[in-house]
Amino acid sequence: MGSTGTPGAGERTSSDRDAAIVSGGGSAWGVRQHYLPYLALVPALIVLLGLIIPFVIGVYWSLTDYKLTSSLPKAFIGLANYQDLFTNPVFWNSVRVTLTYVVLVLLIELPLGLAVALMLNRDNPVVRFFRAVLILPLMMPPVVGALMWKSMMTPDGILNFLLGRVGAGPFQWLGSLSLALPSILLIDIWLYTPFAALVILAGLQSLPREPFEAAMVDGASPWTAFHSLTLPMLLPFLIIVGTFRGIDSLKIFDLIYATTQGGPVDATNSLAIQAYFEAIRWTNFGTAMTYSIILWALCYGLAFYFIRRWRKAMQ
Amino acid sequence: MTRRKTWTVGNVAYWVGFALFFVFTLFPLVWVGLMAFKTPVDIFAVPPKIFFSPTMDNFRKVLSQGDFLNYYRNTFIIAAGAVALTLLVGTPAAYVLARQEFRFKEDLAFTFLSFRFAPELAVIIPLFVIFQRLNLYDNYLGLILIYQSITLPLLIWLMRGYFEDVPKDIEQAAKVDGAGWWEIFTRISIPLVLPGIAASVVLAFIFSWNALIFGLVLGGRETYPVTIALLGYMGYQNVDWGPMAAATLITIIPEFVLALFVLRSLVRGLTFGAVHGG
Repeated sequence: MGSTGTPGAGERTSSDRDAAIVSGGGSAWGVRQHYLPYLALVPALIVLLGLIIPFVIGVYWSLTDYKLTSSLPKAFIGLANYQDLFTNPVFWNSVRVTLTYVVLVLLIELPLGLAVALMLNRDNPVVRFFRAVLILPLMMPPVVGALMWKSMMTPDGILNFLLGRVGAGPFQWLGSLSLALPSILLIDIWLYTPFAALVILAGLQSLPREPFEAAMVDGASPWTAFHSLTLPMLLPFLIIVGTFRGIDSLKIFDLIYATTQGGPVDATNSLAIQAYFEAIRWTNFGTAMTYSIILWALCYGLAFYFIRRWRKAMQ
Repeated sequence: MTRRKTWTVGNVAYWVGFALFFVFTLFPLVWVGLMAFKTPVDIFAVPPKIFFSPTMDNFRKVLSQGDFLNYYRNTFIIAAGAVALTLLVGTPAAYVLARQEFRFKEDLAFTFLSFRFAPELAVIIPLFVIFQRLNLYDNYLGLILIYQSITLPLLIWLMRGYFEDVPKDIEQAAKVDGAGWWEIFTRISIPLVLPGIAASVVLAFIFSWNALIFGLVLGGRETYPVTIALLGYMGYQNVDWGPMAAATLITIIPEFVLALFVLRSLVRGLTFGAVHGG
C-alpha cells in the first residue's frame, strides 16, 4: 500500500482504505482494519459482563426478602429493606463508624503525607533509603499490617511498655470501646500514609521551577510560595490521594476483620463489615445486598465528587 | 545571623520529624521480624526483650504443621492465574482504548475502572450463590475469575497509559509500510511497552496476593489464600504470635523482592496511571 518516503504517504493510505470500504470491501484488508480493533475488546467485555451481571442480580436481591436458609422462595418487597435500614440503629451506627473513619483518614493522612513528601523532597542517601522503606507497608497485605499491630497492641505488648516508660497508659487499644476505632485508624495511617507521601512527592518533583524563582525574585517568603504556588499546583495530586484513600476507607473491611471484627460491641462495625456478617453469618442476603448497594452509592458519590474536583483542578 | 538561626531551627525540626516518622514506619517491621525468631517465653517477656537467642522453631512449625504451604500454593495459583488471564484479555483492550476513537470510549474505560472503586461485596455476595450453582465455589477457576476485578482495571488503565506513551509516528511508519493492525500491535507496540507490562504484571500479582475478602467469601478449604491462613493463627483468646510472625515474613518477603523490580513504576501503578514518575 502506498509508497513510502513521501510526505503525503500517510494520508494517501488512509484514503485508499476508505475507498476500499466504500467500494464494498473489494479488499478485505480495509474492512478487517476497521473491525479488528473492536473484536480485540470482546474478551475484556465478556469479563466485564461477568462482573456486572452478579451486581445487577444483587441490586434485585436488595429488593427482596431473600434469606439463604429460608425454605420459602424469595419475594419482591420493593424498597422495604431500605426503609427498614433507615429506621434501624445498627445501620446508622455503621454509617457513623464508616463516615467517621473516612473523615479522620483524610484529615490525617493527607496533611501527614504532604509533610512526609516535603521531607523526602531532597536527595541524599538517608532520604533515598527512607523512600525504599516507605514502600514496604504498601506492598504487604493489609491483613498482615493489621496482625503486626495487633501483636504490639496486647495488654502486655510493646506499645503499652514503651508508653509506660513515658508515663502514659496502659491502654486497652483494640479491646476498648473508645479506642478501638482510633487503634484501627493508627494501623491505617501506618499502612497508607506512605501512599499519600509517595504520590505527593511525585507531584512535588513534577513542579516547574520558574514560578518559584520568580517568587523568590519578588521577595516572597517560603510560606507565601508554599501557600500560593506549591499547594495549588499540588491539588491534582492531593485529589488523587483523596480519591483512593477516601473510597478505600469507605469500603474498610480487611483491617477491621483482622482485628476487632466490628467490636467491641459495635464500635468498629463499618458498613462493609455489617454487610459481610448479614450475608455470611445471618444469611440475610436481601439485607446484606441493601447494605452493599448503599455502600456502593456512597463510593460512587465520593468518586463522582473527586473526579469533578480533579477535572476543575486540571483546568 | 538571624537567617542562619532560623535555618538551624528548621533543620533540627526537619530531622526530628524525619526521625519520628522513620521510627514509626520501621519499628513494627523490625519488631515483628524479631518476634518470628523468638520462643514463646521471649515473646511474652516483661520487659520486652530486644536481645535474645534466636530460634527457627516458629518457621519449622509453620512449614511442617497445618496447611500453611497449601494456602501458600493456593495464593500463587490464584494470583498467577488471575494475572495471566488479565494479561491475555486486557492487553488488547488497553491498546484499543489507547489508539482507537469510538463512541462511549471513555465511558467504557471508566466502567472497567469502577470495579476498582466499587465495594467488592456488591459483586461477591451474589456470586456466593451463583458460584455454588455453577460449581465454581471453592474452586481455583472461580477465584481467578473474580480476581479479575482486582487485576483487569489495573492492567487496562496502566497499559493504556503505556501504549499512549509510544510515539504515534512509529506505528504510522509501520502502517505506511503496509503492516496490519494486529501486526503493529504485536510486533511494534508490545515490545516497546514491555517494561510497562512487567510493572503491571508485578503489581497485579502483588494486589492479588494481598486480597482477603474474595477468598473469605468464595473460597473454601481447598482454595483459601494465605491471608486467611494468617488469620487462622488467631484463636478466640490466645494468639500463636511466634508462628504468625514467621508466616507473615514468609508471606511478604517475596512481595518485597518483586516490588524491587518495579520501583520506578510504583507510584504510576499505585495510582492506576494517574501519576507518572516518582
